[in-house]
Amino acid sequence: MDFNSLAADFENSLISMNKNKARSIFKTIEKFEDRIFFIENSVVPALRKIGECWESGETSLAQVYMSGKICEEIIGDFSHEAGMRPAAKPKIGIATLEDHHCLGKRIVSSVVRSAGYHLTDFGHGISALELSKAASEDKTEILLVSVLMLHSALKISELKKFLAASGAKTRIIAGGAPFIFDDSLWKNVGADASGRGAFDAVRLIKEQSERTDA
Amino acid sequence: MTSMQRVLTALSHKEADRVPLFLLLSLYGARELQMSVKNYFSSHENIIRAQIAMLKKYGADCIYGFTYAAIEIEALGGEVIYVEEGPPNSGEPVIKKNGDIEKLEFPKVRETPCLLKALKAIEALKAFAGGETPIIGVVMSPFSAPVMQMGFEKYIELIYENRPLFDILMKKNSDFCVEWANAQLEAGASAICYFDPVSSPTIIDRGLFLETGFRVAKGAISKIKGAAAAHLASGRILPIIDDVAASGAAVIGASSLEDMKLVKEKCRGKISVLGNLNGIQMCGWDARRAETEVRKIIDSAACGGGLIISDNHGEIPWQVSEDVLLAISQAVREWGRYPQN
Repeated sequence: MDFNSLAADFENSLISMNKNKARSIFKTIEKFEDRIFFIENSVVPALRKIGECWESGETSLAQVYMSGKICEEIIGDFSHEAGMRPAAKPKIGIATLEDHHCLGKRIVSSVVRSAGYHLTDFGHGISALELSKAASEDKTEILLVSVLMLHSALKISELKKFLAASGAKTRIIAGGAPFIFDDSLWKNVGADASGRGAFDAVRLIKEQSERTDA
Repeated sequence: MTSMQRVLTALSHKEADRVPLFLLLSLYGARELQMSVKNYFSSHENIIRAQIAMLKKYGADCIYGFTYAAIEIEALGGEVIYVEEGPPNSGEPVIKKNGDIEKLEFPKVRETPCLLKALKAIEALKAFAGGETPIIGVVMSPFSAPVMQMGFEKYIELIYENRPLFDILMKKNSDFCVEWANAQLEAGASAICYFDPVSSPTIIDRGLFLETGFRVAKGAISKIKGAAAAHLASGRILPIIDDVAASGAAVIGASSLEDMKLVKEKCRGKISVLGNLNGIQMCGWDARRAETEVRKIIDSAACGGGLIISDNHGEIPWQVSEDVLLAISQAVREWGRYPQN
C-alpha cells in the first residue's frame, strides 16, 4: 500500500472538503494497525498542514473547520467500531470564555479529538469564575481557552487568579483572534501558552503535559 | 480643507492637504461619557453627545454612526449581551435550525425601536456636522450577518451543503441590508461601511467568495444609494482586492496582517484603502509607538491619495488610552501632510 499517495489524496480531499472521498480513502486501509498508522502519520499531519496554510493565508478558516469536522467524524466512527477509547491523560478541558461564538472551540476540539485525546467541553459564554469552578471540580490539567473578543481575552487573567485561589494547577492554553493580532497578549493575561491556530493545540498539549508531569 | 473635502479628495485618488484620519469610535463613547456600555447605547442622546465630544477632542475626519453589530439581531428580536468595556455581543442564534430560515421575517426599519435610535443619532449628528464632516453609517453584509443569526459553524455548513437555502437567506438579508443602509443615508449618513468579514480569504477561499459573498455584495451595493466601503474587520484582503473593487465598493478596509505597501499598490487608482493600525496592539502603545505606526502607514501608502488612516478592525477598543488616540491624530497632522517627500 502506497501510504504517501494515500496521504496526499486524503489531504486533497480535505482541502476540497470532499467528505465522501476522504472517508472512502480511509476505508481502503484494511488493517487496524495500518489505520492507526495512517491517522498518526497522515491525518493529523494533514490537519496541521491545512492549519499552517491558514496562518500564511493559503487556506481559509472554512477549510480548516470543515477538514477538522470531516476527520473527527471519520476517526470517531473508526474508534467506535474498534471499541477504542480516547486518551484519558492528560485531563483536558475546553471553553469559549465569555464569548458566544464557538467556531474556534469547535475547530480545536476536532483537531484534538482527531489526535486521540478526550476533551471535556465546558461550553461557551462562561464567565471566568464559572470556568475556574468547573475546571477545578473536573481536575482539569490543561485548559484550552478560546476567545473572539479582546475583553474576553483580558478575562483570562481573572481566570488564572481564580484557579490559583482554588489551588488548581491547571495550565491555560489561550487561542483566538486577539492573540493573532498581538503576539505578547497571552503572556500579559497570564496564560501558559498560546497557539496561532488549532493546529498548534496538539503540540502545546504535549508540551504543557510534560510540564505538568515534571 | 474641511474633513469632507479632504476625504472626497482622497477617495478620488488625489492628494488633499493631508491624509484623512478615521477614528472609528463606537463603544468608546461610553468611556468618553464615563458610563456603562449598556447605559450608553440605551439612548441616542448619549451617542450624539459622545460623538460630538470625541470629534472635538481627537479631530478625526469622520463621525462614526455605528452602534453595535448585534443591533441587527436585536431588530430581529434576538438577544444582545452587554459586557463591561467591550462591544455588545449577539446571544443565542435566532436561526436555531435550517428550517427557521424560511420562516425568518425582518421588521420594517422605521418601525424598529433599536434601529430608530441609531437613525435619530445620525439625524442629529448630520444637523451638527452639516456638510463639513462625513458621517459613516454601518450595515452588516447579508453574507456575514448569518454568523450572528445562526452561529459560525452552522453557517459554514449551510454554505457548503445547502445552497438553495443559503440563497433564500441571502435574499432576505439583502433586502433588509439595503433598506437599513438607505435609511441611514436618508437620515444623513454620507457613506455606508459594509462590514463583510466572512468574505475575507481568512474565512473563505476566493473561489467560494466569487460564488457567494461577491455576488451578494455586488447585488446589495448596487442598491445602496450612496458610496460603500467594504470592511473585512481585520481579515486579509490582498487576493480579492480587484473583486471587491468590482463589487462596487469605493473603499476597502485593510488588515494589519498584510503589508500596506502591497495593498496600496494593488488598490492604486481602483479602490481607496482604509487602515491598518493594529487595534489590539494599540491597547499597549504609548504616544511614541502610535506616532511610529502612523508614519509606517503614511510612508507605505499615502503617496497619490487613496488612503484613509484608521484601525484595522473598524472599532477602537475601550482599552486604548486617550493619549494614544491624541498621538495618532497628532502624528497624522504632522507626518501626513501632502506633498509627501
